[in-house]
Amino acid sequence: MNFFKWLSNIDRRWIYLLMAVVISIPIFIRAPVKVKPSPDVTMLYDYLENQEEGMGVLLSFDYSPDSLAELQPMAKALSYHALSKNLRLMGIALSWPSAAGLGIEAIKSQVDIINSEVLKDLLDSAEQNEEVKTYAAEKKLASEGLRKEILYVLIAKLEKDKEIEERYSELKGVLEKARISSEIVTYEKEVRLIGRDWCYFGYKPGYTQMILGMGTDIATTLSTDYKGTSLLKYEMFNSPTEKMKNYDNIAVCIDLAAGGSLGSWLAFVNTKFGRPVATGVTAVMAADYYPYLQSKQIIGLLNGMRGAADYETLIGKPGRGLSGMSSQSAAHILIIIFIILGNIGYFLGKKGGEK
Amino acid sequence: MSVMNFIGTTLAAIFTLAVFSFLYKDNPFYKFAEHLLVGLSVGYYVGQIWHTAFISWIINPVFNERQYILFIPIFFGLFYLGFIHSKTVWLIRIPIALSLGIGSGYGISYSFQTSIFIQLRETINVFTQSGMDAWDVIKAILLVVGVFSAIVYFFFSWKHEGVVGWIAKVGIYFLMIGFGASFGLTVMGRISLLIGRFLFLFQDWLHIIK
Amino acid sequence: MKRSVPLAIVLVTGIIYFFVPFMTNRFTMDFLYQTILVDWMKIMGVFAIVMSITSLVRRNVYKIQRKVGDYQYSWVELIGMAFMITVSIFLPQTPLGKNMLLGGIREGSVYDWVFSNIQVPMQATMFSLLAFYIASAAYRSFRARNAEATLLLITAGIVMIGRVPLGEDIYNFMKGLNGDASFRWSEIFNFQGITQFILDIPNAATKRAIGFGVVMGMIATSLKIMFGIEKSWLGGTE
Repeated sequence: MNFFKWLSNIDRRWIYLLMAVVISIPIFIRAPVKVKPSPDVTMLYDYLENQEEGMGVLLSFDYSPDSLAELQPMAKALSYHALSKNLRLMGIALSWPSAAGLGIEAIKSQVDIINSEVLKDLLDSAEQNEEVKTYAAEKKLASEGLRKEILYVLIAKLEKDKEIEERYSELKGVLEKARISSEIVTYEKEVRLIGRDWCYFGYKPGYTQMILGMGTDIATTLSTDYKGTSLLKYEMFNSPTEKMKNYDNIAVCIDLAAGGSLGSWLAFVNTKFGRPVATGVTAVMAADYYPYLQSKQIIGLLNGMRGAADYETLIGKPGRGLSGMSSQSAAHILIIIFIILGNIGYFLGKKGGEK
Repeated sequence: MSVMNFIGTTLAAIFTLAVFSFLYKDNPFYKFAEHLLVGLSVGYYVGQIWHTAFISWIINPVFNERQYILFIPIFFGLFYLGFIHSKTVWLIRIPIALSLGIGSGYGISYSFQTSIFIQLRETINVFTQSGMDAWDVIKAILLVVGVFSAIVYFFFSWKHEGVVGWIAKVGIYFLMIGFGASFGLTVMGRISLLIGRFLFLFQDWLHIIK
Repeated sequence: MKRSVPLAIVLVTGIIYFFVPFMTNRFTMDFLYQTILVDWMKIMGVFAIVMSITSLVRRNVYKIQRKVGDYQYSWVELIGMAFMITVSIFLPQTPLGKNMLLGGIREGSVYDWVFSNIQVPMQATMFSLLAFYIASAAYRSFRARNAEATLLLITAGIVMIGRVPLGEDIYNFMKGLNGDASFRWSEIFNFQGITQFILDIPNAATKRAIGFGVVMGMIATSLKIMFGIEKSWLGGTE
């Protein structure tokens, strides 16, 4: 009884500290974690697996940094899957302006990963080149940083991105001199390029208007991408044969949401235009969307950090979702212990009071 | 790691710790972080709107492509600036009225179809799926019972007595399971956010783990 | 006039747009839908941001002028906002050092750097504090006072275990103990399966029932606004 009395009067900061310790220990131990993906996540994975190359996938980044830990790993895993399947990935931020920066980070990081996988041999040979070695030594660049810069310069050449070329003009000169730049042309079809394989529209205010407008014509509704480049300059939106005109060319719209935005996607994209919608949501609001999963109005649901971990498992690319799972287990046990202790104390106190 | 990356990550860690310091007690570091966040967020919003909406939807079409018809929405949009003077403040109501009228009117039928009609239809259709085994039938019955009893619970025009009372009681138990699920997931979501920050501190900043 | 004109606009546009989804003629599709609803409404909305910036500036200037409370922090807000606006709008997109751009909003710009390294960590951390509060509340507030509350807490506990790998580990361990016995008692430890059932059936059923109420309420509110019964959006009495 005294123990419970003592526990109920304990300074809340000790509880905070205990929570911090419980979450930290599994991170340090790095216990191997395996998860069995839930059917809600597998449904979306299977759907994307069965899509024909060249179909579009639209990710809507409807969250702010508040929900970064849950939704950013999902965004990355979904982007990787779509890009690796040669689906045309598009991203837009509709509800929160601050999602603009998160969206480009998620997509661009996965584009870079896939491009470095495709260009592995070229990057290896570039790294071994004497002139590049001298450049790296002068700039005190480690292998990882050097490979990243080489990748940017080579991709910028294909994308004709003058800003990036200007920023890395010195390395560009070195790569041209070493005749590495000219080799990138042979990889042109395999790498993922902006405007051909992916596009990010950035933040666009007025999400109902945007969702409705994209049903008619994506390029004229949105006008520009996140860099301010007209969408009609991109192959994705001006090609007569493989154009991303509207939702008819998009296999699925996936709303990564931390608010009520999914309602508009369902009402307009699914009900009005009759196109598939899926979602990745924060765990806090996930329970509210199971009725729509049962009615098949959404074709997949990624639920919180666990949803991200499930998707990472399915694509075989562990990320922040899986990294957090062991800490999640430990913290849940702690919370359950707190609830049990609290209730034992409550009932003992009640009993004592009755006496 | 470049110098700017190092500075960036260190700053991110300092601000993370400044916000965590609130757990001990309110202090100037936390207050500074809180106010800086508000300022930066609004500034970020303006930067986004300027480049992705103002330039590409207003400046370019009107001045470069000469779509002068766009002066009509611009005219109504400018009513938002009515708030600068007390005599013109009522003008804000015009664009708000347009948004509300058009938005409400257009949305009603789709909201009804999405969240009521299809949801109701799929509750009934749950028995018509092919290849259902005994367990699927039990689940289908539970789903229908759950929906019906929870609706009855929220139906306050009838007194919750007799049969209605019993059904409402079943509804309460279903609701409690539903709220329990939401509660469990809420705990999970909140903890995930904290894990995210710890992973940042240990992985990206201190490089203690890979 | 100050109230009747906006109320008339809501009524007329509301009624017209209620019928738009059911009409497929060219005037409706090209003008009412595409031109007004999509193209013009998005432009009108852009101007609304001026209100939010002005209200933030006004609030802070007021605090600074009258030295209200911790008015020093108002400077922090104003400087933070002015900095982001300046770098994103007024400065040119020229290289700054090797990896950065001075102006603009694209990746590598100062604007993006400040967002990623200051705004994101602060905002993400603010919300993560809730994990600590929920731990404290778990001990102090979550009481099984009656049958309903007990059911809620038990469900929450099952979901909490069922959604983490620990639940699968417990189940696998129990399955091992159960061995090849014909009575599969280990199934009661299948937390992941039970959680999935809870989410798919009782949870979905109740959320559907609640959803009916919420959407009915939203539609009723929309109709009340359209017909001028709900006027709170007008603000003020004038």
